[in-house]
Amino acid sequence: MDILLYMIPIALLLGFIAVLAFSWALKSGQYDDLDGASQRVLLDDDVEKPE
Amino acid sequence: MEQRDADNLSSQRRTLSALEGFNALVQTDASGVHTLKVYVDGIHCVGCISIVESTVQALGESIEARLNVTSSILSMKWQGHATFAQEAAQALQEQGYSVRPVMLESENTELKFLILCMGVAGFAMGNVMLISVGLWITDAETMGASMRLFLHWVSALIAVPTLLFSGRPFYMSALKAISHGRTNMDIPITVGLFLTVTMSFFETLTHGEHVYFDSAVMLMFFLLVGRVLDMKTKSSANESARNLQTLLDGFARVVEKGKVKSIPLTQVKKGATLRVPMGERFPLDGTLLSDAIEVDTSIITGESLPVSFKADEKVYGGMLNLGDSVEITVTHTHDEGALHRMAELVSSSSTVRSRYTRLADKVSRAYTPVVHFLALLAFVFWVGVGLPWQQALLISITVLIITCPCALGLSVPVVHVRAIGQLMKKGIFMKQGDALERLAHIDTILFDKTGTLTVPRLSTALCDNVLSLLASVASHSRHPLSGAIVRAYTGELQIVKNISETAGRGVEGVVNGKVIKLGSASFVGAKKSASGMWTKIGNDEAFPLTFDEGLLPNVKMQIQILKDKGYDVVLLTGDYKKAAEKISKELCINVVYSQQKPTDKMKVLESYQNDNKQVLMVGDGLNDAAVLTHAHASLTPASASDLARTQADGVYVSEGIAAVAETLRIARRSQKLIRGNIALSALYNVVAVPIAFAGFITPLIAAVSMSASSLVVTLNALRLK
Repeated sequence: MDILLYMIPIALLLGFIAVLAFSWALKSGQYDDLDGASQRVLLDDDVEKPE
Repeated sequence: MEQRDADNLSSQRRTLSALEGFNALVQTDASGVHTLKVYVDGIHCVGCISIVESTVQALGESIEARLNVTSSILSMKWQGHATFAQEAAQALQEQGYSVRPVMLESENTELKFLILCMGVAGFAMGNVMLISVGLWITDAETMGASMRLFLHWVSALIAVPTLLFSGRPFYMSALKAISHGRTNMDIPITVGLFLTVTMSFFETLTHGEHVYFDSAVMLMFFLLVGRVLDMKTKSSANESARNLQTLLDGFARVVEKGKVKSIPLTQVKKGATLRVPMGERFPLDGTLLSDAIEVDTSIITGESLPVSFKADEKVYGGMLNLGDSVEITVTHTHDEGALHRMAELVSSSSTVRSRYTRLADKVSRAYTPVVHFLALLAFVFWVGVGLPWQQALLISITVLIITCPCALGLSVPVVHVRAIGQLMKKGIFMKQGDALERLAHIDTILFDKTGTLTVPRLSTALCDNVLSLLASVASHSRHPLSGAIVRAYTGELQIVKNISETAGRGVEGVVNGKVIKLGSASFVGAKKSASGMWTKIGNDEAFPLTFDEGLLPNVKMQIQILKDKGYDVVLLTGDYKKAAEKISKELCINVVYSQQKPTDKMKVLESYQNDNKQVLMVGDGLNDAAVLTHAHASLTPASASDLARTQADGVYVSEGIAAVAETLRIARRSQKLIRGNIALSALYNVVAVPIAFAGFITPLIAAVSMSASSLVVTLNALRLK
């Protein structure tokens, strides 16, 4: 069971990184336009077709 | 032909001069990068995103353009000339999107804050649960007391910071209530959360077993999800109230010494002379200097048929000039104008609804003092009996936790969720649960006329051939009169080519090689200049179409049903007295208010509210928006204006008003179930509190009894049909 002594801190660290990533995403405006984000996936990328 | 070209040219110049104003709004930073944000009207689909962005980007290199679909704001960033703003606006208008300056942009910081709190609570919940599952499936003997202590400490490490961070919305709301001398549901939630975590922390310190970090974090997360959803609905409503003010161009054409200048609306002074070209809205309130042949007054009166105005008559900002270019003298500045006042009414926060005390809050008013008194009593009792104070405190806190607002907190929302789900199946979409509570108390119903009870109906008799041609073209237009033509024709529509619509003027298209025009007299090229809708088929002579109004299906029966159930039914319309009386006679409605402007409608509403009537407003127009906001409860048809839809409590899809009676029925029924639920959770407390008081509660009993009580109220809610 000693493995828990490593695994739990690792899990917490990962969770903490996820929280940081989330708050960064929120601050950088990624949650400002929820309607647009769901529609943009339907747009084609501007990739030129190979001849 | 020459005349037409000249017209086109002058209209282009006109738009150019109006767009010049955008150049002044550009912001430039030190490195020469210009930025500008503009509202873009008419964003409907994914295609619009790419058209708008690529249109602007195609104008030059290294131009950034990003469209926010939610708020319809386009952010542009570029280097070079500031006058690019005008070019971009011009290019977008050529694509058919109208562009307006952003006057009031507010960042919704409150919503962001709630999302952040919810996100953090969500992550914490996931991690705490991971550990709790380990704690639940085994006991201290199997895993060892030290391992259990370790897991408790890890839970504490996650729960305590989360409680301090994510619980802030509740603490702030609770503090605010206390400082105003009120109570709300957030007070027991705050006390419960803090006590649960504090007690769990001391239990962990003293190697005990009463550790409930997981329940505290989970309760907080679920409550926050509810708050975020609630806030999202509210903020979208405010957004459209702000949009109402920018319905106008944001600029006005002021005539000074024979020259026309485009200046921002807010700077126009009283007495200035404004020019309003055809197809544009009057920017401010004023008196006409010459006759205006056709004006679309729907924003103020809600009527879809154009009205003609004479010189010296008063026009209101927001009305649409359908006739030739006219000039007005400004009588009210932007801040005093009718449209501005309407927007203020809509966004004002002191509505009946905000003053309304929700049932849950009423219950908490009685519940909070009783529970806290019981907990105190338990502590005093056990200390008096001779127990050490730590143990007495533990018992008194258990009393608080066992009565924790779980079942009580759930008893209202589960019924609301069920009722909203049932209504949705019937095509009625409620935005907030509390609306159901308010709907249950309604005794008076105000109906708007046009669009709610009646629709325009084509009264010109036409043969099927002609009607088929007209309906095919009209089906491409969203104008209410086009809808009337489409409704009049029951056959199959034909294919239309080269369709084009000019806002405020008309629509034209080619069917079987014939050009069909529908619109104002000048649009179709009639010889006479007259008001009303005209049509021209191929090279035939143009002729006018006439309309009257017809009742929506089953309206008469539904009004009778509502009257039989004891509701007072009132007609409240912006239309003329004659038209209003005709409809009210047909529907047997005795109380009629006609020729009501939005502010008059508000006065009627207030007079009812002063008589302590609980008013339901059913209306669809922009002019109803204020009443929809301030009435006790409100419903609007799905065909209503955007603003009406965001301000109303509920939107119904079905034609006619059958939804009104159904919504009222479900609202009353759900109110009964809520009372039943509150009684059930009170019963649960009557049983559980003495056990807690006696000090017999173990973590297992607590978990089982809490979930059992939640389950009972949920099952009770499912009885709603």
